[in-house]
Parts: sequence; structure tokens; C-alpha cells
Amino acid sequence: MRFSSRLFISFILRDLLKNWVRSFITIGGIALGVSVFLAITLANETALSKFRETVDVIAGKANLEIRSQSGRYIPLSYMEQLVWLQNLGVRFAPMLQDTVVFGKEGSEPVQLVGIDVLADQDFFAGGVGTNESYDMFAPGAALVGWRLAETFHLKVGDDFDLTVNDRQHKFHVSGILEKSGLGGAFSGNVVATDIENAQAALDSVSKISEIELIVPDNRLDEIKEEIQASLPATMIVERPESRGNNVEKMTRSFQYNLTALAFIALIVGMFLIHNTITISVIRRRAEIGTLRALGLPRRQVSALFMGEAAAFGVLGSAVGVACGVVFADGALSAIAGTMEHFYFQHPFGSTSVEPSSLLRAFLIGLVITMVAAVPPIWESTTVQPAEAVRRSSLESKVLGSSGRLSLIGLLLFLGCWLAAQGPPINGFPFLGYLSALCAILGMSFCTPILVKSIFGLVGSTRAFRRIIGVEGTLAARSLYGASGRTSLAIASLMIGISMMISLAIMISSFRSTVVAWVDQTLKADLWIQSASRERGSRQARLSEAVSGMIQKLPGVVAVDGFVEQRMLYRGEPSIVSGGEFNIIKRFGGLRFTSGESVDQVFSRLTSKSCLISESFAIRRNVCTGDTIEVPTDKGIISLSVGGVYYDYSSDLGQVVIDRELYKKYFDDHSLTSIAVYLRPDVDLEQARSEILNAVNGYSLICIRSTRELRKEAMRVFDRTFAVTYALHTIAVTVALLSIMNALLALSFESRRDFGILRYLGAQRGQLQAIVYGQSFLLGCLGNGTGLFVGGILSLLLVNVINRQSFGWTVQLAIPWDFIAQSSLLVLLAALAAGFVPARQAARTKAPEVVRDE
Amino acid sequence: MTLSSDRKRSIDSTRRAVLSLFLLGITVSVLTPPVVARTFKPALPGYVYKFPRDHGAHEDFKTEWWYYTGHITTESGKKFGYELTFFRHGLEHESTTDKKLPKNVYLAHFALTDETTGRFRYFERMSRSGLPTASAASNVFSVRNQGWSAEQLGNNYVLKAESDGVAISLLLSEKKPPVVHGKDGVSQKASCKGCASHYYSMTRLDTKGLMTIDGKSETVTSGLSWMDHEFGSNQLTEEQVGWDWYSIQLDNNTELMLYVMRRRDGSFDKNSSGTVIYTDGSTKHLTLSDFTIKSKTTWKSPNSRGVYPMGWSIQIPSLHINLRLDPVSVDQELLTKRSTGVTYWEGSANVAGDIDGQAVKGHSYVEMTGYAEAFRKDI
Repeated sequence: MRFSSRLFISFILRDLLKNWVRSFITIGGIALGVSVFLAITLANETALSKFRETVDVIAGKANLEIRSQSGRYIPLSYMEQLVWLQNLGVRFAPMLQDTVVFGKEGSEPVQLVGIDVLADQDFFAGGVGTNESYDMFAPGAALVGWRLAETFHLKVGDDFDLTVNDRQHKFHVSGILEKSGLGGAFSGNVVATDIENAQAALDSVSKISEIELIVPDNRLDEIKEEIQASLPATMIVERPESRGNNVEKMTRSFQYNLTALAFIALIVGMFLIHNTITISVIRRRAEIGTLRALGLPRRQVSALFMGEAAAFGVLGSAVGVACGVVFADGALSAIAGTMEHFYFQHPFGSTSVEPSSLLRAFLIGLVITMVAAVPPIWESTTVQPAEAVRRSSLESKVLGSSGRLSLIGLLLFLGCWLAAQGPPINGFPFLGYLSALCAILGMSFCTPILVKSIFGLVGSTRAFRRIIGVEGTLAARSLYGASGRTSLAIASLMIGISMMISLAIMISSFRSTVVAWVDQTLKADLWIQSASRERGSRQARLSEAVSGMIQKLPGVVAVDGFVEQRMLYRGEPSIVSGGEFNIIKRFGGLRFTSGESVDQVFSRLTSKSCLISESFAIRRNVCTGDTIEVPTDKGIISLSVGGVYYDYSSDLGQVVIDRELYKKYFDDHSLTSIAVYLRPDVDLEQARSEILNAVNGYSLICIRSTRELRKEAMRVFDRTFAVTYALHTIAVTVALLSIMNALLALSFESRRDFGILRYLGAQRGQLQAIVYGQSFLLGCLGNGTGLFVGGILSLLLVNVINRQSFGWTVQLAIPWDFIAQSSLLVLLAALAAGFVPARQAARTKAPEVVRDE
Repeated sequence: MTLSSDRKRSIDSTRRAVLSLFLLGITVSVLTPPVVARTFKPALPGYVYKFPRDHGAHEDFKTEWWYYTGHITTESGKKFGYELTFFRHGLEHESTTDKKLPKNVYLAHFALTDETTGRFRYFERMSRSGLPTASAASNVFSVRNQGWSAEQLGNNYVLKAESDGVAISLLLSEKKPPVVHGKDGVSQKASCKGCASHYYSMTRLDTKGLMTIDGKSETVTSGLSWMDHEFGSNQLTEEQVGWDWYSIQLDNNTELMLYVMRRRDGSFDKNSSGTVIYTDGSTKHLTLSDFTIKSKTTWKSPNSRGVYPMGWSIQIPSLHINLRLDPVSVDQELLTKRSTGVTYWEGSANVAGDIDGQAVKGHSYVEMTGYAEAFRKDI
């Protein structure tokens, strides 16, 4: 083995150092793939783990929780029916919590937690950094979280305000919670107060969010069953952790898709390493042959190249892990907005780095590198000692088998089509992603035959020679001659471009669909929500009376009060809403997937009908005419589905019922938003100030015009896709790295040809032109195949992956201008990548090279 | 309750702070702006009782309790002493959520003494207003705390309590009308104005029902209970460290209630007093000078280290009453860390002696507070 380690140093490491640009690019490619993957994974994991952490510290020693499936609250009176549990050694305590906003201005979300200050000390444990006695029963008395105290310089005795729904409430600091226990909830942005104070602030007298229970561990399952049996159908008893599971369910589609996109960067990196090792093997067939002739066994030859791949894998993955940790905070803040807007609220802060995640990313990088290196290494072992003197046997093999490869490619395309027809598995489009992978691989396998036929045609047709000159013809022929390597370079480029193009088409289609939807559905003139919702408390409400106050104003034609409420439909987080059906009917504002008009749909609605959003229909597999069972505060009710409407505001799926029905079945009269329809002659600004005057002193609201709301909707949209944009830029970067890598290798390989050409009298400029020609042709074919596969991927993203993940129908809108610009950019980048090889080629000295021969 | 030595407080200290603030009278928080919206009336002479209204809660007063003690016999002949007590402690704030509802802390103790084996068990509950698990109604007599309750049904009262396999479900029938203690409607506890409570008893309540012990239920075939209901604000003074209380039910249909307020210097407060209730329900008020109480021995609690007097001789010379009280078991001490935070001895005792030379027997309950630690004045 001493022999082989010395051999490794001289044969592999020295070569890597000599070709340091290529090594650098390869390592960079792997590092980028690994870092993006890690950053996204860490961000996703942190988001969920922070939520779970809060659930944990709030639950304290509680091992069960009673919650509602129909909404945020359960009746406080239910506690009384649990007294029997005490005789089983069960302790229980009520809790009320909601996200509110700190202060009179600003947008710092804070978790207001109402606890029974007399509850058993095993609930809500937490240190308070004060030595004084305090009276938690006093109105407004509150313990504030350490981070909140730090951010706003709060100290014991200070007063502060919380904006809760459409009101402001005064509190005062009785103590500062330390980081442990309850104080660690919501990353320290927590205000704990007696349950009555919380009820007063949240205007939820006689309601609580949940009942926490501490059940003896040895009888947990038995008691849980007994409790569940005693509960109304719409209430559930679960372990506190299950709340984390619900959030995980909610965000699963979003997170999986992000991870899948991040994975693509890794796949591109995989091609890069495949490319590099292949070239490394081909270039040194002669040396391999010599080593073999000297008696080096095959095993050792492959071990040498395995060592090379491992060196790339270890270095690239290590750099990638380090960069991933650095990028993770950025990724987290990029997804935080989306998480908070669509799924759940929590201060995310910075990512928590789990060693296991780092190790996993490192191993994935290493394994992917090794797997990508297997085919060329396998090839290296087939070198016979005698064969070594001949060059480029891979080339002839690739050329010879391009027909067989393209057959495999066609089969993969068939697989792509078949997989695209498949249903989601566990709510996630695994088959859609498989289909995308098939398309990419299919195209990769078809690349050799394309290279062979196109470059063969270009290199041998007179008509082309007239256009591209002798240099172009030579470029095409050299690519044809090195079609194995050429195909690899083109395939890498193709993957990068296809990803870029497909994401661009998907985003553009999505955006134009949302723009159209917003235009068609925002029919009212003014939109009202509570101050705290405006400032970041997503579930905040308005008092119902506000709607009546506005109704009375002159110039107001109609007022549509809308309320939405999270619920669990068959255990899946969904939304149930109440809207004024008569106003929707009068003004429209909904588009149905059936293509029917609002009148047509409403004419068949009964008193127990609902409308469902497309997400709900697709993800919960329900269609018009079906009957669904929805949990309400008054029990489970059966609703017939009257119609499916387009909705892009949430992927959780929404069930909308008439507000009268909502009020009958839900113990909740508040509103999420109000849409105001004005007489056409009324001035918007004047109406706005009249409304503000009318509710002044009663309710803190925020009013938006339709134009402002539209702008806000698009802002949310762009923020949601910001990460996707970032990922797509990174994929393109990796792809460009791989084209540079391929060109560098190609030009190095062509040194002998260039020498001969020089010997035959070629000018330096001509040699440069040949290299640029090669780059250009590579760029063209890479771009062409990339656009083709990009088109297929965009169809998959829009019609399969997005639809199955989020339940949204998206109208395809192709961004031609972007495609034109990106194509130009790719060609320019290809030419730029040819710069260094071109200079090298120009410096080729004929005698040296020929002497080598 | 080593509050001063607590360096670091936990949320739990809120509980303790609450208790200490209101029950133990440690310095009230200076941090909280005093949003004092509820004021309490002192117990002053001239109070006129009206039943059944006065069985219910009196939210105008800060502290109130309903104390049931009794001696019961089951179908298999086993004898038990029981105590079931409900406390209401008013907080000085308005309710945040409903102005009509005063804020209170509710506490309850339940104790059972097996008079055959001497085994003593006790349980406690702590609740607060604003939650449905405890309440004390004002208009009717209905006091509840986490499943334990005392309620009036005509001239009967229903008591329920259950914990850890021990349960009582008793029907108490009134044999004598309520007896108001003290003078002019007040039972004076110290000389200062308002240092008093309104205090009446139901001294003879026939008791039947059901009891469960170790998961086994038995009919209660006979029994006799005593009920105290007391309410007031700031009854005690700094000098008072505790009290001893005796309720005695004799088999000649006579009852006797005595209490002594113990001062820091070991003397009895001169406001200590008692009441004799005769067969016909008529009463006689006793002052400290009317009676003497002496104990034979002491018992040191292994739990609290408090040293309690045991075996009492009670003499009321003017009425020719000589009684001897012997506890059925020495260990009937309650350490109520999870509720009132008070450590006290409340136990069943047998009574023997003579009145006017006639031998009498009976049962009693004795309560002794402030032996493990000085009782705080804020009752």
C-alpha cells in the first residue's frame, strides 16, 4: 500500500494541483451544490424545530393537550367536565395563547400566553429574574420574555402596550422571564399573563386555546382514550408534540419542494464530477496502460481514481458544509416571510446548526460524488495494457454506442411521460419529480446522438462551411471527434439551463395567473383589516360591529365581512371561512374551475352548501356535488360542495360557507377582513377617512384600496418566490462552471491537434477562432437541449408538481423575453469560458507538441 | 415559606406569592400599580343574620370559610372522623373579564381519620375565580372546588369530596337551627375595631350517605356533623400567633364551642370566647374568664416539627362542666403546601366527663393553628 499511496500522490494529487483551475471549478461546483442543499435543509429544520421548541417549553411537563379541531378556542366551561380526572392523578390547567403585536406601532409579533397562575407548578415552569413579590392577579400584570425585554429595554415596573386584534391593551412588567422554561417560548418574544388578563385582551371571555394535562405516564394511553371518548367529536386530546406535526403537515409541500429544488443543484454538481473524472481517465489512458503493463492490478487503478473522486468529494463537501452554514441564515430569513404569511408565526432568528444535519449534507455530497465517478472509473479498469497506446477508446465506444444510448434516452422519455400521469404519493409529487429526473437523464442519453448527428452534419456539409468557415468546421469536427466529453459538457449545461428555464416559466406562469386572479376577484373598493393583522399578527380579527358602522356611511353600497379560521379537516390543517354569500352573488369576485358563472353556481346552493377552493378540492380529493364533514364549534356538520373556485391565497385549502351559517355553527362573531363596495362617484380617499372617523376610538383598523391590496399581493408573491429565484441563479452558476470545466479540458486535450495545425501553418488567431467556435457550438447545443428539457420541466412543474403539492391550476405563460436574454447570456458565457483555453491554444508551440508524438 | 431567602423566583413563586400575599400577609408587592377596585368590609357589631341567605358567600368580606367536621359510622361498624373545608379568599382587584365577578382564590381541604386504625389522610385543592372549576355562590348555598362541593337542599346539606380512592357523599340534616357566636352578630378575635368575624355554626347535623375508602364503598348508617361558617376581613393582629378551637357534641344533645386566640407571649387574648348550645337550641355566650383549658401531653410532628398540646381538660366552673378530650390519633396534622400553605392540626377526639355531676360522653373536633409556624395576621 505504500506504493499506491506514493502513486496516488504522484499520479493523482500532482495532476489535480497542476490542473488547479479545473480542480477549483469541480470543487466549487460540489461545494455550491452541497451548501445550497444544506442551507435549505437547515432553514427548513430550524423553522420547524423552533416551533417544536416553543410547543415543548409551553407544554412544560404536560403530556396531553385538549384542543379544538374546529378553531382556535374551546369553551372554558369544558374544564369542569374534567374534574373526574383528578381522581386518576391527572392534573390539568387551562391556557390561552395567540400571536399579538408589541407596542402601538412597529411589527414585532409576540406570543401572548394566558396561564392560570395558580396552576400546579409543573405547568408553565420558568425563572423570573426578580427578587420581589408580585401580584399576577392584578389587571395588566405580565411577565415578559427576555428577548422582548432586551429589544424594547423593558424593566420591572415599566408599562407597555400590546396591539391585540383591533384594540390596544396596557400591560405592565411584573417580572422578566429568563431563557429557561416558559421564557424560552417563541424565542423569548413572549408575554405571560394570568388567564383572565389574556382573555380580556383577546376578547375571548370564557374561551381558552387548550387544556394542558399531566397524566401519569404508566396510564397515559388508557387515560387518553378515556378522555377522547368523553370529548365532543370536534375536540381532540393529543400529545403536545402533535402540534409540531400539524405544522409539519402544513409546511410539508413547501419544504419538500424547496429541498427538491436544492437537490437539483447537487445533481448538476454530480454531472460536473462525472465530467471531471471522465476527462481525467481519458487523458491518462496511456499512463494507466503503462501502470497496468507494469503489473498494477485493476483494483488499484480504480482505487486511484476513487481516491481522486473522494478528494473532490471530501474537499467540495467540506467547503460546501462550511458555506451552507453561512448561507443558512439567509435562506431562513428568505423563507421566514412565507412561513409566517401562509403557515405559522414564530420568530425564527438564526438557524440552529445540528451536527447531524452537517454530517448528512457532507455524506450526501461525498456519496453523490462517488456515485457520479463510478462509470468513468469502471471504464478505467477496462484499459488493457496493450490498449494503452491507443487513445480515446471511450470516444470510439461512445460514438459506437450512441444509438444504444439514445434508445435508453427514448425509454427514459417514455418513463417521464408515464410518471407524469401518476398521482401524488402521501400528498407529495414524488412521481412528478421522478418524471423530471427521467426527462433530464433521457436528454442526457440522447445527447451523444445529437452531438454526432448535428456536429457531424455541421462539420461535413459544404453549406455550413461557407457560413462558419474552416475554423468553424474544424471546431465542429473536433467536438464530433470528442463526442463523449462534448456530450457530458452539453448535458451539464442542459441541466442548468433547463432548470433555469423551467423555473422561469413556472414563476412567470404563476405570477401572471395570480395577477389575473387578483384582478378578477378583487371587486370591492376598500379592504379593511385590524391593525394587528396589518402589523403581522396573521390570525388577528376585527370586531363585527365595525362592519355595521361602515354600512351606515353614505356612499357605501355594500359591506362584505369575511372571517377565516384554521381547522383540521380529517386531521389535515385547512381553513373554514364565512363570507356574505348574497354580496358575493351580487358583485361576483369568484371564478369557478367549472367555468360556470357566479349566478349559475349560486343558483344551486342550499342552506347547507359550501364552496371550496381549488387547493382543497385537489389536495383533499373532493369535487362539486360531494358532501364533506366539517368540524364546527357545535359539532361536525355535513356540507354539500356547491362549487370549486380558484384561490391562490393559501395552499391549505379553504371551505367557505355563508356567514349566517358560520355564525350559527361557530362561536365566533369576529371578522378577518371587510370588503367595502362604494358608489362609483365616491372619492376613495374621502371614503377612507370617513370610515376611519366612524370607527375612531372603537376599533384600530387599516384600510387598503384595491390597488394597494393588489400591490401587496404581488409583494407577498415575489417574496414567496425569492428563494426559488436564488436557487435558480445558483443552478445556472453551477451549469456555467461545468461548461468552463468541459471547455478547459477539451482545449487541453486538443493541444496535440492544435500543434499539428500550427505545424501545418495555422495562425494563432485561427486556433483561437477554433476554440471560440467550439465554445459557441457547445453553448448552442447546450442551450437548445436545455430549452427543450426546460419546456418539459416547466410543464411538469406547473401541471404536476405544483398542482399536486399546492392544488393550484396555473395557466402557462412563457416569458419569451427572459428566454431570449438567457440564451444570449448562455452563449456569451460559453464564449467567455473559451477565453482561457483560447489563449492556451494560441500559445501552442508546434515543435513541442509534435515532438511529444 | 422561606420567601426572603429565595434568590431566584420561578413562576411557582407567583403561586407562593399569591398565597403569601393574601393568606400569610407578607409584604404586598410594591411593583404592581394598585388598581385596587374592591374594598372589603370589616365585621362590625349589629350584623343581622338572615338564613338561608347567610349560608351563601359574602363577597364584601375578604376571607370566608365553610367548615364541616363530623363523626360517621359505616354499615360494617367502622368509625371515621372527617373534615371538609371550603375557603374563599377575596382578591383586591376587579375581574378583568367580567366586572360583575369578583376575583377570588378558592381553597379546600378534605381529611379522613380512621378511628379504628388511627390512619389519617388528607387532600387539598386550590382554584381561583375565572375558571369553572370552583365557585361560591352568593344567592344560594353552593360551594364547589374541583369536584368537591357543599350544597343546600332545603334543610339538608349535601357534601361531596373524592380523592385518591377516598370519597364521601353525605347528606346532612339540620337538627338545630344555626347558632350565632359572639355578641351582637360578631365574634371578636382581638380588641381592635373590625378585628372580628361573623361566625355561626350548625352544631347538630344528622349524617347519612356513602363513603368510599381504598376503592370500596360502604353506606354511612349514622353520624353527626358540625358546620362552621365564618367571614370577615383582617381579623387577626400582629400579636396573635394562632388559635385553638374546640367543637364538642355531647350525647345529652348539648354542644359546646370554644376558641382561644394565642398571643406571641404565650397568653390567651382576652377576646377568646365560646358558646354553649342547649337541647332546645338556646345558647349561652362564654368569655375567657368562664373557662379553662389545659393539656396533659404534647405531640411533636415529625413532618412540621411543630409541638402540639394533646389531651385536653376543659372546665367551665360556672356551668359545672368538666370534660376530657382525647384525640383518636395524635397524627392528624395537615401540611397544606399546595393550597393555603398553612400547617395545622385538625382532628377527631373522644369526649368524656360530667355536667352537673352527670356523666356525659361525646365526640369533638379540635383545631390548632400556629404551632408549626406563627400564623399570619392577614385573615
